[in-house]
Amino acid sequence: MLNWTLALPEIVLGVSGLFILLGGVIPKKESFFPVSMAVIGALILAAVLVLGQGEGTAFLGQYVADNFSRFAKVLILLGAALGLLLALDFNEKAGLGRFEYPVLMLFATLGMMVMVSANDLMSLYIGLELLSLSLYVIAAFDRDNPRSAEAGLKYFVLGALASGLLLYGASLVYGFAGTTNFDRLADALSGDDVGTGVVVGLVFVLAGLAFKVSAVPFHMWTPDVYEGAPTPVTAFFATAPKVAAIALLMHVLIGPFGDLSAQWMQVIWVCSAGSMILGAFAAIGQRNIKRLMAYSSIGHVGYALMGLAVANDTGYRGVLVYMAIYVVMNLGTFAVLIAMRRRGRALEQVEDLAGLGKTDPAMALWMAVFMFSMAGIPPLAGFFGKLYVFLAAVQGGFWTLAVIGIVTSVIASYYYLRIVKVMYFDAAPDGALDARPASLTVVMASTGLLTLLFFLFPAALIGAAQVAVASLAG
Amino acid sequence: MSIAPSLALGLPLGLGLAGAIAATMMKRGVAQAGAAVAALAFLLYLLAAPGVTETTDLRFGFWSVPSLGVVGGLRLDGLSLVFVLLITGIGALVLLYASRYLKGDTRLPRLVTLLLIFMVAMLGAVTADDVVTLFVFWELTSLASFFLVAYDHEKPGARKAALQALLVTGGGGLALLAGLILVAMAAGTTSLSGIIAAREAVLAHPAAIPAMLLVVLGCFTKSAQFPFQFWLPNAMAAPTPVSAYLHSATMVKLGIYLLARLNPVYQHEAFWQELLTTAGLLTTAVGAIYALRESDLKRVLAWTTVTALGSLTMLIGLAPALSATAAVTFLLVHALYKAALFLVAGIVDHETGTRDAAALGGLRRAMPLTALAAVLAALSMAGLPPFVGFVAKEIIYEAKLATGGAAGLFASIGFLVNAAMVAIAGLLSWRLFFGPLRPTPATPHDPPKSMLAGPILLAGLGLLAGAAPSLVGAWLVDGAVAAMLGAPAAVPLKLWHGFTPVLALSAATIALGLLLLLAWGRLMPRLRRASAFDRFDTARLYDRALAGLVAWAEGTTRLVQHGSLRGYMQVLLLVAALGPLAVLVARGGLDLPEAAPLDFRALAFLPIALGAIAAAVARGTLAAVMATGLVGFGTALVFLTFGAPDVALTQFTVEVLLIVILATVLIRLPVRARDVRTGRQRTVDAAVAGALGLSVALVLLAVLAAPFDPRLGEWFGAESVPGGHGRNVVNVILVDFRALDTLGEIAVLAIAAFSVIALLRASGRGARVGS
Amino acid sequence: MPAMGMTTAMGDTTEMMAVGLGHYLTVSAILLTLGVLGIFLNRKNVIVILMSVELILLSVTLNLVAFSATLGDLTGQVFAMLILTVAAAEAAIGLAIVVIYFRNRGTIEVEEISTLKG
Repeated sequence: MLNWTLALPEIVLGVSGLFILLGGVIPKKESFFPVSMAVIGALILAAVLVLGQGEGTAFLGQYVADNFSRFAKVLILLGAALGLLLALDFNEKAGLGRFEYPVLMLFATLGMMVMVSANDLMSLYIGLELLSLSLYVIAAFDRDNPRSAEAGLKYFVLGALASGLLLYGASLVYGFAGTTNFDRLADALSGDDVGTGVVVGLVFVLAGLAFKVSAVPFHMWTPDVYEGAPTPVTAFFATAPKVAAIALLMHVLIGPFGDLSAQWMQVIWVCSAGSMILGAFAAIGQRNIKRLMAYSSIGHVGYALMGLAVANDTGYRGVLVYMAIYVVMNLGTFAVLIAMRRRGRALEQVEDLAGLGKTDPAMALWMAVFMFSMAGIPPLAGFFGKLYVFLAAVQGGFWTLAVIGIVTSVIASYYYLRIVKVMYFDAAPDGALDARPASLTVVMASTGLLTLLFFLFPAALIGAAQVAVASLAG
Repeated sequence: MSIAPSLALGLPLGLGLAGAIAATMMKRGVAQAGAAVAALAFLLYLLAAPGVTETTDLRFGFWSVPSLGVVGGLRLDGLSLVFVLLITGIGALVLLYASRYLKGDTRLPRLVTLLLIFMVAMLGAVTADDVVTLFVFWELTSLASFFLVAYDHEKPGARKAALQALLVTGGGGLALLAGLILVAMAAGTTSLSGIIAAREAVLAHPAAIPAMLLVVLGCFTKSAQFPFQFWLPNAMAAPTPVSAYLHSATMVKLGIYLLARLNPVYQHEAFWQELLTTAGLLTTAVGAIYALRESDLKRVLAWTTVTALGSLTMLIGLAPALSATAAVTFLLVHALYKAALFLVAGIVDHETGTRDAAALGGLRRAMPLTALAAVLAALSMAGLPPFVGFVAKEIIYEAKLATGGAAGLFASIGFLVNAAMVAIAGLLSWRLFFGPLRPTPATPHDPPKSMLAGPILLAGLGLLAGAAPSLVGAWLVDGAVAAMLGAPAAVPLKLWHGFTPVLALSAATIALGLLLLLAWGRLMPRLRRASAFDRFDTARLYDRALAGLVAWAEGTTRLVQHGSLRGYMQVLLLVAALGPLAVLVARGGLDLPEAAPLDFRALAFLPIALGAIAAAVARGTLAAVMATGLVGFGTALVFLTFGAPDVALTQFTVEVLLIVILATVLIRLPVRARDVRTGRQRTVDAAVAGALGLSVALVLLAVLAAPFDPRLGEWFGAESVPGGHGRNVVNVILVDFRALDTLGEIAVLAIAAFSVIALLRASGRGARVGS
Repeated sequence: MPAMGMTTAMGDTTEMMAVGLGHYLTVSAILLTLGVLGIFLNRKNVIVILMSVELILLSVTLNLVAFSATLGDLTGQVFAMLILTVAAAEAAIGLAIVVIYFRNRGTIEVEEISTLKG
């Protein structure tokens, strides 16, 4: 009953990670670029394997491969591969061109894939730790920069605490439900009377997962870490791990704790509302654009969680659609942020974008597309992301949440549009930005086109999300 | 000649879009080409017009998401037809005008592109047959307006005005979205015609009132109704052709359009009627007063537009069929004369170098054709016969007088407002073009034909329509009225109504207006200085709200994101403590468990307890490390008593390893023994720690009080321990059944090993502090 | 040896529930609380926090092993093993980050980790 071939993408990725690691260690000189290429190759290979993956459970039910995991994994692999592409040039210039970086990203991705497919508390924990440990290290990767070190340390301390809480919850769930397997947990928790021990355990598990998705009130680390970490690291933080954490949250809540939805819906409701509000207001005063993106990401998680709070298939589908669009928009935005470099120095302030409309019209156009999309202005992709979760919330009778969502998106549009205003209407104080590498242009243009033209073919994504949800809830 | 609906509805949009793209690449003749595109679209709609009557329409469905019950499409009915003809017709004239007005401006292609995008958005919005398409195009018009207002973006005023307009109308748009979603939910369809058909269901829905309010809010922001009127005059920072097109003839009417479109649903609701009439009346008054306080021609015109928009809102709110006829007629008339007047104002500004009404006069001789256009348009605005403006005004008075109880109020405010409009019309025609010539920065003369075509044609159309009102009625107004009321209800349009009270009212209005005009030179500065009006200026409220919001957000953020790791941990743990407590409260208190006797294994707890307490209170860090080690060893002992030697051994190993590493690090890193916290910080810390302790204790009590379900244990025992086979079951499980987890674990260890090296290996640049 | 331990634990399931489990859970809860207390009461530098996290994880393993015995299900023990190993790796990485932080700032006092904010 091992069915190990089902886990082939993970196994191939893990083993190639170990080999790439060896290949990186052996040569004398720095091997950042070839190792990065190898890692991107491995990620693509894994993506191909995921697409061709069968369905079913493996390792005695600890691992599950279905349409849901496939959806999330493709997104994760896409985010990771593009995220690494974004780092290539930046890291070389910032003196971070060390082979450990791509290898850590590979292991983080492996962790995310395990998280998504985990059908057991133990596998969940292993996946989560694989991801977290890699992220702790790459947050502090610019080890000679005090801000990066502080980002790494803060993230580590808070992350370790959150993992501890999650584990404590998992141990209670195990003890009072008698199993760590998701399917059997679902059976054990299907009755009317579920013990206090399990519910308390669920609360702790939720707290740990809320930390990973950086939902209010466990968001505190996000702005500091986003600001302190090197920009490509921030780009990575904001994309693939978010998808993985949201997917994990969905899987855990809908699977084993599906019958406790009445209890967790309220928790998610509060997290969603809090995140939307904080994301909207806190970003208003930001000057540092990475910090702004942190608050923006908190807000976006709030919108995604709105779909989860609704706790029905329409809502879940909204979450998946939202996250897919979110990843694409964010990758593009960060490609622009990473290209912000003048006379060799990386720039991070909103004002540094001034005059971009004149000095680099193409990049300004893409950035404008991303900002409008994030603000939820139709017909860009971001609008549809919001539309589907709002529709779900309204259909489910969650008026208050939907109204909070709409009001906060109005407020949030203020700071997205401010960026557009700065780019097009403010005079460039300091001349043009440095020429950007082709890799960034590729990421910008591809994600930009997806964002821009999504409205022409929404059915593909929505259909995929629908199928994914069906396998999750069914 | 008839035309396929898909062509009639889709082709203009496609043409406009293609034109917009082509305009970005053209160097010369770009505005003329744009005008041709708009004119072509106008012709297409004209060709389609015969298919649109009071009872028939054209439909073109083009997208659907069946799973959501969402269908999308375009539809051309009487109401839409009025709008599309205005949009394309005035669009063509404005673009032609712009070709001269902005001649030699390198940004002209951009302007044309934006204007054509705007035109497409407007056409889409007024022909949309479903709420999603409507909303998409609606917001696109706001966006296009943002870029058009910020056309002169070196001017800070233009930037601010653009952002203001976008925030107000875009924000209102989101409210509209919320409202439309609610309405669509209630109706069970996103199709506008479906919603109108499902009137009963929409009104019966529990959220019917909030939904209506949200929709109305969106319409009010877009159509500059009080208290959102302030953005419209500020948007005059845009070039004049833009103002003429967006901010008088078309975009600001979009809110009116939607109110009219949804009128069949709400028309018999008292709340709807009261809301629209009150807001409309207030808006007309505000617009009239502020119009008299300005001398900048464009701002004067903007305020009169506000007044006109208020009138339209009010007319929609007044129930009878008469007022619907009045609304449609006035809508048409206003678009014609106001666009003409804006274009005249632009010509005056362009040719004389100023647009200060107080500094202008006697331009008739220098620019006779312009004067002709101005006079024609102004007569229509003032509501004098034989212009269509007169017809409209008559109907408005009639409608107001027919409202019953409040008729007196409506008529008297309407009377004063109309008198003000007569005065403004006089200002724009008589004062500017007659009387003594005043010196201007540039020598005035008539502009070239392309600039004159628009105003003369528009003003002339007013004359024509006034002369043959019944023709306009049958051809345009009746169809629109039918759409507004949900059923055909023709009220004939007449130029001459006979000697009625309405006629007397019209005459009195004109008399008072002329008096106001004579006094304008003294009245305007006085009104401007009167600070009482400033106090009610909602623009200030907007400014203050925006500034306050920013300040509040920054302050709160600094408070919440203080950056202190200590504070972050407090929040994390406090929430973790409160969560379980909330669970307990929700589950209704707790029972105390029975005290259980200890057995000998409790001895193993002793080192744990000692170590833990020592670790918590130890002064030195090294001592704390040792104490933690003691806890670890104690735990390992407990594991042994549980028959878990594998875990115990691992625990021992890990513990030893950890202590050695920690001790090594501690020797290298000098740590300060002093506690730098203030007393208050200590108290907060203790409270957080105490809260978690309390929470855990209570949860424990609750958990232990409930009987532990032994069946689980038995079931799993029977399943998972088959006699005493595999001696080291843990290891078997680890390497065999948990293969994937073990792979993960190996990866974790690999990461740990090489990332420690990655972080610590000498970096060349680093090692700033310490060694 | 393990099998024997297991059978004792299994031998009288219900009685074990009443006697043993409560105590173990209590100890584990105390450990958790003390871990948090350690963070807050005696928290001058980050290393103390690392150790407090260690205590929290110990309480988790204790829970797991106790449940494992009570349920007669080995999963808990396996889980505990896994956590121990991963916790060691986590601590190693944490210490490495603490060291590079120290290299940059010359301090590891918790109070001073607060420059990124707003």
